[in-house]
Amino acid sequence: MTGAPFPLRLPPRWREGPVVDGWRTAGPVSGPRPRPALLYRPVDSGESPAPTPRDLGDGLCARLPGGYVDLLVLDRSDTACRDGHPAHRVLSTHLSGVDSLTTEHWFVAGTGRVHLLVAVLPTARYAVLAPLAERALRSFREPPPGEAP
Amino acid sequence: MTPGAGTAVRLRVLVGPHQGDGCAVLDRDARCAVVSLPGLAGVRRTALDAVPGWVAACVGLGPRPAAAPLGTLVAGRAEADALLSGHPGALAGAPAPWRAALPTSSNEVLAHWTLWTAEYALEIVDTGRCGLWHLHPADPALVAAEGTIGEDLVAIQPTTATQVWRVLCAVFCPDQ
Repeated sequence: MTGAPFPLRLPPRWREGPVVDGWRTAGPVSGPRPRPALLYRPVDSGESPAPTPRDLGDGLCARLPGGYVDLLVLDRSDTACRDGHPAHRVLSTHLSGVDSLTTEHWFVAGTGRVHLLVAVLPTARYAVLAPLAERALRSFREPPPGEAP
Repeated sequence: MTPGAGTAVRLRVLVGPHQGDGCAVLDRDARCAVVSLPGLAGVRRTALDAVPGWVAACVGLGPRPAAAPLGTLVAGRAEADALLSGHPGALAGAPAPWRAALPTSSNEVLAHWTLWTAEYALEIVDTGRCGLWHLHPADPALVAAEGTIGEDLVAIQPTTATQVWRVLCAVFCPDQ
């Protein structure tokens, strides 16, 4: 864990977990597997001008099918976090081993950079978990500039 | 699986990438299903949580522009079908915001399918660039408010692929 607070308001009984490959992670402290997870990292494309959230969504949709089994991109739409930051979301599903997962990627336009929020939910419990995940994603508060992710 | 022990979910695809009838018999205890779908070779056994994705692929569920929040339009069955296939005469009688949102040609209908159980039915018309539309029996109170009478009235509401996916997951993976 880092010292900075997790940039999403977590559902009850969810806690921040370890940083994995540059991703800050969070999930429930217990429960059936596969467990849902929330992931966060800022996007550093190195491009100028920087890509927009929708551009990054296009790139994701182009890459996803090659990287996952039985992947379907289900939906895309523009949205916004509660603090007004505009975002572009991509909803998809794929198989991971024997489990089906449903994933929300949110590319959020921040101050000078884009942030990537991800909710990975077991499809078997998507109907119940989706509202919790959406509330968490929408609660995103941009970390101050210079704060380590 | 014990024959007859499961819930049956039926699918009828009238228009779409794979047309025809399908069925999934769910065994919640074993968390699996026996599935037959248009476009799927033979009868297959799979985990419950895989079925929403199989159905989504069968009907071509995918990103679509979201129609404006128009509320609900109540129409007779035949008129509803005409509206969603862009029939000029039907469109002329629709409220202006709906005329702007509905398709103008039957060529724009990518898919039309119904999924049902003993307790629930979901009917979706996918009009591509004009979005997804949910059809369901009209609420009697709404029918009375509209001043219309008659049988076989349907309510048409814009919906999204996300909302449809949520329903598919709830139907095939209940109580998880």
